[in-house]
Amino acid sequence: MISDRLKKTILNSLSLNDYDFKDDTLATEVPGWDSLNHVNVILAVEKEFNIRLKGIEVLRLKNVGELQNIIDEKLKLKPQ
Amino acid sequence: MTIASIQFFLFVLVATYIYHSLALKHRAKYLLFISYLFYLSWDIKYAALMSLVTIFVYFTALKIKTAQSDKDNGKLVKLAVGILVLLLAFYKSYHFIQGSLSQLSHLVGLNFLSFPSKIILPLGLSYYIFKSINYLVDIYLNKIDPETNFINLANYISFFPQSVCGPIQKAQDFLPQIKNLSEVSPDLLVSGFRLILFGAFKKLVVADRLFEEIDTLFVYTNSANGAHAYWLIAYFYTIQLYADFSAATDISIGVARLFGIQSPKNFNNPFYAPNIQEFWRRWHMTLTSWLSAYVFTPLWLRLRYFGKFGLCFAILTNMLLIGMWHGTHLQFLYFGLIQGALICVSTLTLEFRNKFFNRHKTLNALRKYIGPLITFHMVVVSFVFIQASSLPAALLIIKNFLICLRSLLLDLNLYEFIAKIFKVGLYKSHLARIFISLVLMETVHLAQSNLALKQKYLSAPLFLRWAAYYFLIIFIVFLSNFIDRPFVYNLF
Repeated sequence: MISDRLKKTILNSLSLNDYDFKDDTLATEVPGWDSLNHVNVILAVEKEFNIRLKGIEVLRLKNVGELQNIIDEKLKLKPQ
Repeated sequence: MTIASIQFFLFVLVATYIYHSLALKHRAKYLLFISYLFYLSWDIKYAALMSLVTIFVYFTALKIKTAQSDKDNGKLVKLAVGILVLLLAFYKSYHFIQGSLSQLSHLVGLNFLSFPSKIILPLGLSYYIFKSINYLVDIYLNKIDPETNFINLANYISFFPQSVCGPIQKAQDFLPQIKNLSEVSPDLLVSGFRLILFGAFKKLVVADRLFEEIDTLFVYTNSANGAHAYWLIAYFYTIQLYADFSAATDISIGVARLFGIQSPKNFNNPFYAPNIQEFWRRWHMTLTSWLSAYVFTPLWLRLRYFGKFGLCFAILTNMLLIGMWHGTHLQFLYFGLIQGALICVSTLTLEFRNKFFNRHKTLNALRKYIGPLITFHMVVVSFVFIQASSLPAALLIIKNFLICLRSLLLDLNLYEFIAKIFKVGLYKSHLARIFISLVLMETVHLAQSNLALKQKYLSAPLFLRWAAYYFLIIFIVFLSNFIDRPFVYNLF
């Protein structure tokens, strides 16, 4: 499930008021989430969650659910 | 045979008839057979090179599946992609390589060595190389599994309707279709024939006739009104290129449908784009999305901590590659650089412009019309680099185009301007014909992209729809010269 924090980060990054994100939502389905804005979303996610995503991890993402999973994994590995 | 020739149409008709009389289990093999037959009709060397690439890609993909680690996979994919890119670069830049090799052989005293001054780019090479790279990289990115059936993969790489001018279909779109071939629905067949007919209209009535007008206009470029001839040439070039390329795409998508294969869209009314980055989302869409996925996004990801500099570097690299895809002559590099610079400026100022226009409501209403007009003119100027025979020729056209545009906008003597246009070999009857055929072309384009309008047309009485088809056929019969002129994008 997509967390409110991730949802808010993506919405802010794309200057959107609202969007109903599901696990299987594709970037191409979201208004404004094009190739130019894709990296902006990733940068905003990295800043918000204070994590670093590898290029290959980003390129392998299939949908928003996978982005949520990878954030959760990174946060688990982070020293508290 | 070009894909707008009578021979090609007869070839497709016979191939389609046999295809539909075969049992489903034989159809994939048969498709592969006719694809190779098509290549053999051009040159046996083309077919041989493509079969070698197919074998290479097939076994590399299987190797990726069995590699020990992700790191090994990465190395293997990089090596394979490197080989494919080198092959493409060799043919695309042979004139450079040939010059260097000749000089080198003279330097070391091997004067007896000779290198052919020119070699022909194998038909569809860049399209099937791009498809191959897409297939291998997507396996590495875990987006698809390697195809174990050689026939299916060979069909993906060689599928003849897409081989001449694209579109560049993704493996994950094509392979499921070829694996599940079923009876082609009558609706799909009819839509295929409809697209072929419209493509033939665009090629024979719009593109080829504009080509002839451009030829005539060139004769008048040295006359007293030469600048006006150049002004028209620049516009005609752009429209000719669009009609020619989108015609090839329509025919290609239409023919693919006759065999039950759905292809991706390649154009989406590009000349109505409000800005230059949007134009590139609507023009040659499969090439731009390919480059975006495998060049622009990975590069910008890597440079993302460099901010706007990283973004501009990725955009410029991407557009330079688009330029170089057309060829390695200087004018193509300029084309890429100009487009890259325009996109950078437009992207970096977009937020500011949006805020500005939101504060000024009247200007915002005008922006809807002015934006596409400015974008169109940016395209007109830069497309001269693609069509012109050399860099000086391109610069001469652009210089005169801008002089004319300036005089049209500032002198405001429209009557005199129009009078001069008819003194450079353009007859009023020809202009009327061009105008009517363009209105017809754009009406169909808008109807294709408007779902409600499309539904209305499809649910119209049969005689009305047939009347539209006959109308196009009459146009083709009476307004075409039926010269088998190659498509501009065949060259790339």
